Amino acid sequence: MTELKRRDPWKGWLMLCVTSIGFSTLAWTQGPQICSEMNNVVGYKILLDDITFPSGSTDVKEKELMELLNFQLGGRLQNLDGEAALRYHLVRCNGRVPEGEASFPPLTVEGLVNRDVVLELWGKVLAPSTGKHNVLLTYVMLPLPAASISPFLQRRYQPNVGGTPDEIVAWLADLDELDAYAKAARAVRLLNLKGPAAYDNAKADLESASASLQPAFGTQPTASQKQLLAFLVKRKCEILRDARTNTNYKGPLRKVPDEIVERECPAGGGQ
Amino acid sequence: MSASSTPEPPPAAAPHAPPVEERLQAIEKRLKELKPEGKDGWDKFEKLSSVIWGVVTLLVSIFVTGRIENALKERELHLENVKDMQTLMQNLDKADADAAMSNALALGAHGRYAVAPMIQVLQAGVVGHREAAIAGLRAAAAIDGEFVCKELTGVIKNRTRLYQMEVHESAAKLLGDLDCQNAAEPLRSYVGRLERSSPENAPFGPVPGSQGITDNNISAVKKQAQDSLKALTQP
Repeated sequence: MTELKRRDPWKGWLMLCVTSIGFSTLAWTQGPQICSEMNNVVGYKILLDDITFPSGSTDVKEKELMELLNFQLGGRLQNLDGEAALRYHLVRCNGRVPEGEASFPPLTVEGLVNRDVVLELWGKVLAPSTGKHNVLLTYVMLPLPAASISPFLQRRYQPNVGGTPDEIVAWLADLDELDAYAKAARAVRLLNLKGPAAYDNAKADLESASASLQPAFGTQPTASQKQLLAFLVKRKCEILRDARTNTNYKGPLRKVPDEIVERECPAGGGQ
Repeated sequence: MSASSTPEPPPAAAPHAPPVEERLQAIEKRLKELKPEGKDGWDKFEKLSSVIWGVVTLLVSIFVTGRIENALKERELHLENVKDMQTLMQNLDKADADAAMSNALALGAHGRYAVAPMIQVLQAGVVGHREAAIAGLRAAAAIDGEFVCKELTGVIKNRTRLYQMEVHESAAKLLGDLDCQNAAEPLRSYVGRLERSSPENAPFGPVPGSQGITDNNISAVKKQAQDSLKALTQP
């Protein structure tokens, strides 16, 4: 550190201390890998972080499995939406495993939202117990307003499939829930970006997400699952009500009959 | 015939010529006038000029040599800093969020030399590195605040879309955080410009990987600039 200008000696010491603390902190903490690949893809994105497999899998095997999952899932997502502007792009974030909410400080969330990332997921496949595999996945629906609902959702699955990693990968690639979370997040992002102009697409996304998640959560959803379902209905009802009076909206939702609105959004519900 | 010789009379003196004495006195008087009377300022300056020029030349040469030496040293140190920083920058480039923070703080300790690399880190737009770059600029400002303020003011003054939205947003935030008093007027003009901006003519470029500049982007930067302006101008 060299500088011609005279400095206060304490500033030099302060910087030395800050730097030392920084490096010593680094020595025993290691944050999640960054994922600069998302900067190269334009459009709505799902970030696929690492999903670790049971300890029997070697690094090479795990890498192959993740590549297989990336390929299968990417292919399925590409075919989901007809409209190119709304299509999801799967971005593989190699080596990245976030440590829950701590890995998503406000600036990081803002950065991900600015890049149209709607969903990020990571997880692990546990060693089978009593003949069943346990899969733990964590989803982050990024544009969800953290003030009213947590964008984080953790899910535990016991897939009824064969025990080989390839079969688990095939099951993961076919998981409808993933698409539902992405749709919920995309609806919010569309509304934030375009307002009334996005009402039709956002309503469709919210309805589709709700329809997929209700059976997935089963008859006894957890508190966070209930909160998510309620959020989806609330946003849909806000769209339905506003579309009828908002002069900036010119689409078909303007003419939805009162009885349909009342049926889908009963007074006191969806408010 | 007889020749008679008579002596010639002496020539008659000129009837108006002054007497010799008078003429001599007049000549003496004029000679006296011609004699130098003491030494005036110019004479003194003439005599001193050689000394003065010597001193001036010495001072100028000392000053110029000092400046040249300083410039050379500055350049040398700059190169040294760049060499020191090169490794840190390479590490930061591929670091995770925590390691990026450590590297950025170490870079920030290089003061003014860290400003351009930190702005470049912001411009690269790696999500996990933004916080680190902001911390690096804060660290640099602890050493050379005026320079950091000047460079960040340069960012918000730029209208050529050289920098992407997040660089503008971070610069606007830092100008307030670092109490850059000279930035109040540029910030005021900047807020005015953003109020008249649309995604088509915003003064910044799109975030990498995004579908373009949005009204939300403009609002976010404007809010940051307004907050900083408020912080700088509050009594």
